[in-house]
Amino acid sequence: MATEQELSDFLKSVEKRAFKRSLYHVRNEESALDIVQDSMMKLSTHYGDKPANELPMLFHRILSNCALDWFRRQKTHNALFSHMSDFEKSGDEGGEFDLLEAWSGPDDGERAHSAEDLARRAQTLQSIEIEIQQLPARQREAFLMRYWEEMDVAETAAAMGCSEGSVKTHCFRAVQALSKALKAKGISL
Amino acid sequence: MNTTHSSATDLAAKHFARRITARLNEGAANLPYDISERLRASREQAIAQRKKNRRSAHHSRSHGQHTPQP
Repeated sequence: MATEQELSDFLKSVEKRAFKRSLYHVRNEESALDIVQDSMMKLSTHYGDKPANELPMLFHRILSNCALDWFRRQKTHNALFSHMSDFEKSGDEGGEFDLLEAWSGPDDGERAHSAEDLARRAQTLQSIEIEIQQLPARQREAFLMRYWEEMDVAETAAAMGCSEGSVKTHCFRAVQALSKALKAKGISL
Repeated sequence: MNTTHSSATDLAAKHFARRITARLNEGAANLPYDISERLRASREQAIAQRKKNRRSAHHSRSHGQHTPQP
């Protein structure tokens, strides 16, 4: 069973990313905060006696479900359908896009953090966040859990309630879409 | 041949994803103070609730153990 300290440390380690993840999803700070608060409370009260290594998968599953609940609670038809449609499968395969070509190559080391550089980095971050928001919800979830939360494919599949193959497909499509969009904006990482 | 290309593509995808998430980490680390504080408060509330639940569960068990047998 996770100790109180382990649970607290886990929540502390994940809370900011959880907020951002929810924000990409619902696009409203207050709602994103409510979703993270509900998720923390549910994890703590219903699953606080689980082993520490199960907390990430459980928390991310709860977080996804709380976000879905938030959409369900929305009253207007437009709000519901404009976002829920994101959960439908997308048929686009990304054409002949070649990720290897889009990737700019190995890191060229730390850059000087001048004011100009900081401004450029902030602008790049904003562009990345916009593109992440625009991904279909399942692609975004898979990408963020797999690469930002560093969960393995099996954990991500368990948290998303889908097969490992679907996780791989969602991740690959997300990477393709992000590469293509950022390249189109002239952003190289 | 195909396997080699596939592995190289996977590797490139991972590198690309790491670069994206490194940028996202910068953004998450620089959240406004009020947001960070509300997240901290939510965390502490969740931990306090767990403590409260466990205490009341423990109390119920203890109470049950001391119930006189008929």
